[in-house]
Amino acid sequence: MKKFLIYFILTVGAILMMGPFLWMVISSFKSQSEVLMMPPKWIPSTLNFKNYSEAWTSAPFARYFLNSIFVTIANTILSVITSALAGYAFAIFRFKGKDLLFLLFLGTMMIPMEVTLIPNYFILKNLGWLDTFFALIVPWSASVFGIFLMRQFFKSLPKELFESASIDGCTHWQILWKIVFPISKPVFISVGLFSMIGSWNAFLWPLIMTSSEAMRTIPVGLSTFTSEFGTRFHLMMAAATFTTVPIIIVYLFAQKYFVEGIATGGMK
Amino acid sequence: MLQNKIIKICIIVTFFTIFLSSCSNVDKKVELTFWHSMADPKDKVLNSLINDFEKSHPHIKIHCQYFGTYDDLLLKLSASIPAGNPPDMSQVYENWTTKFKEGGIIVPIDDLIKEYGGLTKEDLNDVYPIFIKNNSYDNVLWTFPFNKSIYVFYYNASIFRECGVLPPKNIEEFLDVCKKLTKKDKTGKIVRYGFGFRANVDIFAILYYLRGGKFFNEKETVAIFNDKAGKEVLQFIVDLVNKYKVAYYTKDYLDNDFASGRVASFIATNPHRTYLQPLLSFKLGVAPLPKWNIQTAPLAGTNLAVFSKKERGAKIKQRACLEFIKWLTSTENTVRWAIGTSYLPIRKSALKNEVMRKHLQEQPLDFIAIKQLDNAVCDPRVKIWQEVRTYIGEAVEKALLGKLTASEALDEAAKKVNQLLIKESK
Repeated sequence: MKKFLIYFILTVGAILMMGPFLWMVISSFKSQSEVLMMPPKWIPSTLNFKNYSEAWTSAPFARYFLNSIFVTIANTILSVITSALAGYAFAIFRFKGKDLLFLLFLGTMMIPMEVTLIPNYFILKNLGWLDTFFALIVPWSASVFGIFLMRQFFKSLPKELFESASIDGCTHWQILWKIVFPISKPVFISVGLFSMIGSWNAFLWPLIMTSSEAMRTIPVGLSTFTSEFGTRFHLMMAAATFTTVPIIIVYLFAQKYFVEGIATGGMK
Repeated sequence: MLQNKIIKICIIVTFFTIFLSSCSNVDKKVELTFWHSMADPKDKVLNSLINDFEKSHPHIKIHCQYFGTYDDLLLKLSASIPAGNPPDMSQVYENWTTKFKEGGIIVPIDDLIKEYGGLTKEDLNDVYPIFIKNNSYDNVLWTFPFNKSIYVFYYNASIFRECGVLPPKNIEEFLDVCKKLTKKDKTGKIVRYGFGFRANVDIFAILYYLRGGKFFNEKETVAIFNDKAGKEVLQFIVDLVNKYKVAYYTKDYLDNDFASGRVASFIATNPHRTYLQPLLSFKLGVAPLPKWNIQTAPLAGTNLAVFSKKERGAKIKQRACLEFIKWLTSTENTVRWAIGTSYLPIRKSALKNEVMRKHLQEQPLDFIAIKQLDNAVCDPRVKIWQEVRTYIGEAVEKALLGKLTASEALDEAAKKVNQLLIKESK
């Protein structure tokens, strides 16, 4: 009975989670008139494969794809490294004003991105970074949330570990990468995941900070199907499908780490 | 090990960044950036026009950059203008122009014409006067009309014929037609509404113009849309839904309700047809808006603005912009644009053009929209127009939901607008 209940809840949950995804895939084969039909039509009357070719040619998605992958990988690696370094410092080092500094860091998480968008635009303009990969990567190569996660995790590790390591002559750099890193993989993965999801999905930032086609990322590319007259969902869903497939492939291979990482992050 | 890997990755990342960001060109063409919101497939028409322009003007290169919706475009402009990094040209709405012209952010087209010539008096006289008026401030032409559209009445011709009704010529007929078209099933549930609209400012604005209303006083310092006419219009909208039960409203687009036969008619701009047509399995009808006190139709769509820049070579760029605008709005090209996108042609001479005439014979529905230009009306150009639209939209919603009466809702919106106007004038 108990087992039945668990399975029941899980099944409902799975359907709820899969619903939007299924809708995306199904809609990508529908004709324009079928997409928003009420009541919804679950099985398209004909399979419109041409949605895919039409969507693919309506914007240079191959280029957007490369850009998205490049930016996401760079952001993920850099933010994991900076978060580990800063998190380690906040957890282990003792220096004046440490708590205040950390609070200030946390404070920046409370400011919505939209508020700082224009000042950030000024900064990037003065650096001459607008419409370059620097604009897409550098500002996102540090994440306060990542630092916070790392710090909390490192603090929970036994003090003796650090003490014995330093008695054995380890430098902080060595402690971080040789001792802390191997036992903290889950937190590294969750920081990496958050950064990855964030930069893969980012829309407003790349829209504002870049102008040329060569710098566009996938979410910006998807907006080409929305106009003042409505959204052409059948094409948008086709594009969304073919841009999701690589992520799913990555997921299949790295499933174990994802689950581990998410269990540690405790959110999303 | 790991350190090595990280260092390697960093090197690769840096290499790629430098490689990819150094893909800028070195030739000495005049390079213009043009920001727009023309989504697929209209961007295809625009790009093919630009390609042809570049072929015939080999010294000019136009970087056409698409920025999502008009809201996204405005956001992008708002960030780039204070940073001193605007494009050379952009699509702009009239109320944006009102803002931009104050800080010397854009250059009046008139100034460019005076300096470089190009567009003659005959050219300007050939442009529909309503467009010139809408782009001018104190008789100075600031921007140039580009993708203009106009509101028309779309109807399901099959249902209309079935019910034996014609598209309504005036508001009494409109109500009558809506009643006749609304259909109930055996249980009394309404299965088809005579008319559908989106619950936002547009339906109010359209009917208010038809009723002969003005949103502001002559100097555009006080909101007067909560006058008798305004309240009558909003009450009429509410009555259509709640009293007569012949209209349906939604927050969403109406295309699918129209295509499925749930609503028999609605009002939208003329290029909307390119999106609507593929959905339909019945004959589409297009008619002028029904007359209330006056016969009119509001314009929509944007204009081209040339931005003022301080950098070296700015003058050469502005001259190139003018050249482009002149070329793009020539009779031949405005016809190409109009046929490709269903936007309105900018020039009167377009109707004499062979290609256009042939197109209109094949697509007579396009002509109905063009004919409306003779008595078109434009939205107010106050800087706070976007906010006004939001407030009135809220009023429409509140009235429809019965949270406030039509009169109260409009008074509340007008009060908010007037407070904003006072704040703006300080």
